[in-house]
Amino acid sequence: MKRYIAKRLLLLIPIMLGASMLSYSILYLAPGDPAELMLERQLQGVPTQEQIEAFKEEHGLNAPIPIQFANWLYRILHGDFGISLRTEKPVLTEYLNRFPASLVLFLMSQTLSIAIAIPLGIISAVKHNSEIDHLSRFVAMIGVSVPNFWLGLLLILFFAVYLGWLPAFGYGGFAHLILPALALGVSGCASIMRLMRASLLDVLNQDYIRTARAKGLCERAIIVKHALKNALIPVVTVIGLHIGHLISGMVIIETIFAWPGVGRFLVESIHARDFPVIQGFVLLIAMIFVFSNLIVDISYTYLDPRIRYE
Amino acid sequence: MLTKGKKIGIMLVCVIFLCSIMVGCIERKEQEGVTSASSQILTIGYGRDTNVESPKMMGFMPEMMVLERLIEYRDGKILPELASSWDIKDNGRTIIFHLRSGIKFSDGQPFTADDVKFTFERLKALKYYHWTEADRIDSIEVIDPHTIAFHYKEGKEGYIALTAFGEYHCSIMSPASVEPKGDVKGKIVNPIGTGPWKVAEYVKDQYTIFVPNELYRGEKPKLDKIIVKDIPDAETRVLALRSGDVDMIVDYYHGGSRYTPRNSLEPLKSAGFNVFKCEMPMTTVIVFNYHKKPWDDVRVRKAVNYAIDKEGVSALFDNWVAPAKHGLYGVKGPYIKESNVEEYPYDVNIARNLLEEAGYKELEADLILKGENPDEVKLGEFIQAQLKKAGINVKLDVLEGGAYNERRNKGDYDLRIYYIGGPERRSYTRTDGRFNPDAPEFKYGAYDDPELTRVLKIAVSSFNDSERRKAFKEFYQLLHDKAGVVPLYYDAVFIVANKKVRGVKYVSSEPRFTGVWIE
Repeated sequence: MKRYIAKRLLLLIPIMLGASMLSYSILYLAPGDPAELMLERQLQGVPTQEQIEAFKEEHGLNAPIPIQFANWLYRILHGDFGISLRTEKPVLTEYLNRFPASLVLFLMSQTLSIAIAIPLGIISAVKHNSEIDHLSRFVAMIGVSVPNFWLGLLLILFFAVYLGWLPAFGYGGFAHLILPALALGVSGCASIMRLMRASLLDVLNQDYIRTARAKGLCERAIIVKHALKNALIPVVTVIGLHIGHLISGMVIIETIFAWPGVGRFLVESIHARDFPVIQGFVLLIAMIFVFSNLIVDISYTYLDPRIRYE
Repeated sequence: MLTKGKKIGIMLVCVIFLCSIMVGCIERKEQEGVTSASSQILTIGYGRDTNVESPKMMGFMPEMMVLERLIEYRDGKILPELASSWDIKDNGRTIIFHLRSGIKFSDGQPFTADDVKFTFERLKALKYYHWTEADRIDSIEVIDPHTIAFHYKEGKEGYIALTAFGEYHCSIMSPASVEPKGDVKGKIVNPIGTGPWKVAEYVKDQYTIFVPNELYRGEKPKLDKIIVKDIPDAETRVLALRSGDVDMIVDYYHGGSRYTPRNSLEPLKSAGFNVFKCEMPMTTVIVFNYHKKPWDDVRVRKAVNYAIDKEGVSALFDNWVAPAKHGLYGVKGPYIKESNVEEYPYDVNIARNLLEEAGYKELEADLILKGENPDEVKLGEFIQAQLKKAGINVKLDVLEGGAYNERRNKGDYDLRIYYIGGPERRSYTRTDGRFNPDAPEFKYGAYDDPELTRVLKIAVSSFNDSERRKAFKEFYQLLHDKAGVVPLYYDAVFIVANKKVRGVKYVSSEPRFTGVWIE
């Protein structure tokens, strides 16, 4: 296992290098001059050619792209993520300032998703083709189909405007967290629930479950002790992948709820072509993604002791 | 012994608990404003960060609330503010300002000519020439603590340079606002000005708290505190107002972006909110790629003008913006009322005839639009439908900002939507920047023509009022005759507030909060 983890950690290097190169290339292939876009936002007007040239000179944007990439990589290896062109603060500081807000939102939405989806998925599978199964599948279908920005606005309308129970936006106490976490968690909840149901149904049809039933075990013990662990493997994989989806979802939800997280800052930086921020954030997000996948893979060995990494 | 299910349940509860603790632990000193008559706190929803801390320039909102300018340009006149008077010497090559004495910054330091020099030296050092006209300045001379002279480069003098002292970024700030203190290239860390408000607290991307500046010499604010919350999403701002999370939503000061959706104004009014409208000399127009065929032909440009129903454009936004029927600007544009220009009426037959006269039965046109502004896309669809009737088939290209710029810069388009003018204080600089190819801001201007440029230069430069009046009238007429652009609607900025908020007032094109109180 230790060797496996070490191998996976070593793989981090080419993955992150690849992610950086890809994002660097996409950024440069994207239309528009970054210096012009940045200045346009700063000046609230079209910059002159002289201003554009001065900006490029100041921020080293005149060098050929491979040189710029090499310089950036060299600095990264020395722990320097660069300075934001927009705020002129270190990229790492900007990330760390916003990371707690995003982490809280992420944890809360994932917790809500799992807490609702897994029990519902189990009930749906155990009582499949019953009314409760139809209802939960219908709700799950809606949950998957509804775009989270639309759901976010509906939640605000209902809970903040009509009922007045929760704040409409902002970053503050626990009450501020509920609506964005719900908006973010619903689609994840729906997909986890559907997968949990399908996976458990699949497992419940297997021979060893029939054997367990033949032994006279009660249904509860069969599901909890014998079926659930095996059925959880694909669910855990999806939960791991959700981390990636949540990052993209958070971009929208953080904007709608004025949540000062990583996603909102990143999208503003993309619009402004704040290269150091985009590059740094992509690298850090890729790192989180790789680590979360590693944790998911390791969790398989706990769920199914037959799985061994050597 | 706990079962596994219970263990998982406990784990989930722990995560939720942990999230709550984390939320609580993350530093957050603020607030919980929202309408409180006893403490007089006003909470505003605003679409942008106020940028109170900035490596370069702060946002327009704090510039208007915390700082003041040497002069104000209002109702077509230059009015004294921090400067009590000024002298124009050497045909405009030198402007000498006489500053008011006894004025103090909010930190207690006296306001002097050195602070004025610092502000303008900073603009020059950072090359902030847009609408500040600071590039025209040759040198700045402090004559005495209350007198300062601006010497202009040869050929760069003019009335426009005087009006530019009322520009947002020409607001005077104390050298203590930046770090390192007094460094013209320093970062703004805490704006210190002479205006009615000062910044008490700022958390980037979240909120800014303004409190009254006790040393302000004018009308004292009635409010104890203003909390400006950054809510980038327009729909959320509207819902936050409806839910009572904010008392008021304010359009971005400059207008043109981050505003309350026009189609939300009527429902808000019906729901009992007060809507305050301020018309500004800002007009949304169609710009032609006028160096390219067939748009270099005045008959084709006129055809487009005739083919668009301006009333229909206004109806798109529930008539909250006025149709552009009387010249380039609706209100407050320099001498616009006296110009008596009437825009082309809606007449598809004339449009078709003009196209035929120019040798075109049918035309294809690419209209580039910025996708980030839904109103621009809506307008584009309307234009497409209108021009179709006249025989012009418009292809809409809805583009991301960078892609839009690339197409515009290459001249790879036929039509685009643009805005002319802005807040009243920018009347001269913006008109010049859009139609004078020699202006540094022109680059991708709206339209130019040698005759038009000649007249415009006189209009914005002359220190003689009647000469300016004559030239502006001629400029508006020429622009109309040449159908340089298609004025669509006269823009406005809005404030929507709940009924408890009283005393809301626009002065020139910006809201002022000194007279506001909570009932």
